[in-house]
Amino acid sequence: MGILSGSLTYLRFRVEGTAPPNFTEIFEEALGVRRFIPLHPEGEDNESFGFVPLQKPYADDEPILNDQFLFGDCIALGYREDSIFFPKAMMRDLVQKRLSERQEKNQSDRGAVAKQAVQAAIMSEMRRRILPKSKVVDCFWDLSRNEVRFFARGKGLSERFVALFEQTFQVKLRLKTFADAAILSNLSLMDKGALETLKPQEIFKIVIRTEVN
Amino acid sequence: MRADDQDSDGFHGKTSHQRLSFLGPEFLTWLYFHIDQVGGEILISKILPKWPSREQIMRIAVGKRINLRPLTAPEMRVSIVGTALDDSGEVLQAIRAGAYIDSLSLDFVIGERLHHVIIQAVDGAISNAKTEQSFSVTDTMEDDENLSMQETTAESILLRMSNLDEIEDLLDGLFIQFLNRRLAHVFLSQDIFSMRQTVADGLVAKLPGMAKAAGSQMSVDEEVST
Repeated sequence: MGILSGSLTYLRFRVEGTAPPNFTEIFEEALGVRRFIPLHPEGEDNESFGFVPLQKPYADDEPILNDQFLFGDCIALGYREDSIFFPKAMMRDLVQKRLSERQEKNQSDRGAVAKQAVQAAIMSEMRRRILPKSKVVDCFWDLSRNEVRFFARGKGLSERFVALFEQTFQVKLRLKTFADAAILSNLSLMDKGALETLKPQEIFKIVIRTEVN
Repeated sequence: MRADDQDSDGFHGKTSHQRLSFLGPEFLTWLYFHIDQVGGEILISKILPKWPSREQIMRIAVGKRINLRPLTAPEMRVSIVGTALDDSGEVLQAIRAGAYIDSLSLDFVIGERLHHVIIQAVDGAISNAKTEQSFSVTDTMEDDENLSMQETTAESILLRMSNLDEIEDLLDGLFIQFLNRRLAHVFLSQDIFSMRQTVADGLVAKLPGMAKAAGSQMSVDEEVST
């Protein structure tokens, strides 16, 4: 989902609010706080998300500096999501196996607490062996047009991105649909009135074909 | 559409965005017929009075993919892939059955620039956008060895984004043209009539067996709407 190469698929967002006059410093600081932090093998979190530099999305130790996200009047960043997924069926079988082994060793491990402890131990072991599933989506904020392009269409993904973007830059993002464009267009008072009561116009009636035996 | 979208325009019940969501499919359906009506050539100054480029004519054509579905029965989705969809009996047949265009593949040519996009009616997204220039970004930068990697990246991003700006401006201009007609009587008296006529004529030409049905149903619909 690259801004730099290939075909482009994206959602359009209208930005409500403007960047502050000294936005270069403020945004650099804000991005430092919302920078992506990788999942730690010893940690407990199963997912992590944040902003990354566009050109080096996996250089986790480097800070996001002005020259990495400011391109003239525009801001270009990567939004990264990492997650570790433990398949339910696999976890169930592994927990069952581990509990059976412990019972054979006469360790009285029964009940929910013991099961949870075994499950946590297995998850911890597995976290060291498996790589998180990682996704980087580019985003582009044109400050002169006050619009954001997010180069993906997934509902959940875009909702998480919008929430992080709004927290980071202290602005609101609104999806730019055709309805939104109609509401915000420079219509006359009479046309605005007409828009309020506008209903779908049928070109042809829906034909539903049913098979008759 | 986000869950926390607020109705800021004073519409009641559903949010105004949800209530007017039919404008997307209606626009793409109108555009499909409009392209045919204007012969694939649009005077840019007519839709964008402040157009900055020197090219004044945009050539626009329907691409190779169209998805259709009725407004009230989204599960009845039809996907049509192929060439010459601007004159496709299958598309006309789906519209005749009450479907609206849900996503429309378009090719724009403005001067030497060729853009290919798929427009999504529901969320206004642009997908599979491909932009072609008569020169490539790397070609123009090869000569200038003084450019740093950062500058090269910036040039590349800004050029690609300016192509998307152009596509969006033209689409927005076309949408406003549609909206102005949609809110006027001319939409019902001319545009809807013209769409029905095109469908009827197209089906008669493509599917001779449909001639009677298309013609008769059209007259019934006209009676209902009037």
